[in-house]
Amino acid sequence: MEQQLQNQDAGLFGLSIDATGRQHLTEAAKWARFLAIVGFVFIALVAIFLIAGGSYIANMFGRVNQYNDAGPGFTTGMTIGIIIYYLCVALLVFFAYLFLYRFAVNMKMALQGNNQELLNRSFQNLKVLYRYWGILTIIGLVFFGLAFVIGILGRAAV
Amino acid sequence: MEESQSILELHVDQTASKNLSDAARWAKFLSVLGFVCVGFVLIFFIAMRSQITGALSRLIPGFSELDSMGMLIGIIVIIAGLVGLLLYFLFRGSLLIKKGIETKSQDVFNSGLGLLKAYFIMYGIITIVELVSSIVSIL
Repeated sequence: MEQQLQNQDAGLFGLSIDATGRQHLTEAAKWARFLAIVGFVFIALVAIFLIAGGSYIANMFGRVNQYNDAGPGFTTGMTIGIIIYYLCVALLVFFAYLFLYRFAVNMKMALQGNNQELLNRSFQNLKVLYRYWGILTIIGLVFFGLAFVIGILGRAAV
Repeated sequence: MEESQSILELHVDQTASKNLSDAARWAKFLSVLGFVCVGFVLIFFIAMRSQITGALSRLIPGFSELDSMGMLIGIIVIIAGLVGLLLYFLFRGSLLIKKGIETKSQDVFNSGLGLLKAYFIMYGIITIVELVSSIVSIL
């Protein structure tokens, strides 16, 4: 009863998802779901290429390393390093698409069933998605800044 | 009748408002950063234009430096325009959603949602174009 009264209060004095908002969110959720599915397929393809194409990467490094003193251990190490690095990147991007997918699916179900809890969960996933990209971007910028400073210091030391 | 319609509607309650405000804040941060990045890329291309057009004219036989410059400007304008528009939708959408929540204005809030929709549609169309061009280049 109290919850119903709260909802009534919110509807009378606050914002609601009216017909226009509903139309915008339905369309946004449809495209977000499409983007998330394309993203999942792309990540799966990258992971398959990295795991199946390990010998190709090793061969590529072997050809490069025949011109310097690096041994086969170096080639194997570099190959494993590159595969792990790109798998980590794929994993990081996977989570972003997962949040996008959850936003889209929860929004679709919330609008179809007039479910307030699912609507809130959908907006929560949208928040997590943008916060996730924001934090990753800040970390990337910090690394970029550090590399820049180290580069300048290295140049000054030579 | 109006009141019963209002009870049945989905509401932007306190939880939803907080989540949407946070999402809008991060989206604004990302879009501003995106604008700065697009600006840096444009400055880079303007500063390096003679080297890039020289390299292009050497790479593509029968291509003069003027042709390369024209092609470069065309590609840069199209890409910067598309990315800029995408970022504009995100930036303006996040601003309007936040403003709509703060002022409790349904029209402003709906306009923000409309821009969020436009952002996802444009992102989707760019993805489709990229997918088609990748498939064509593989075949």
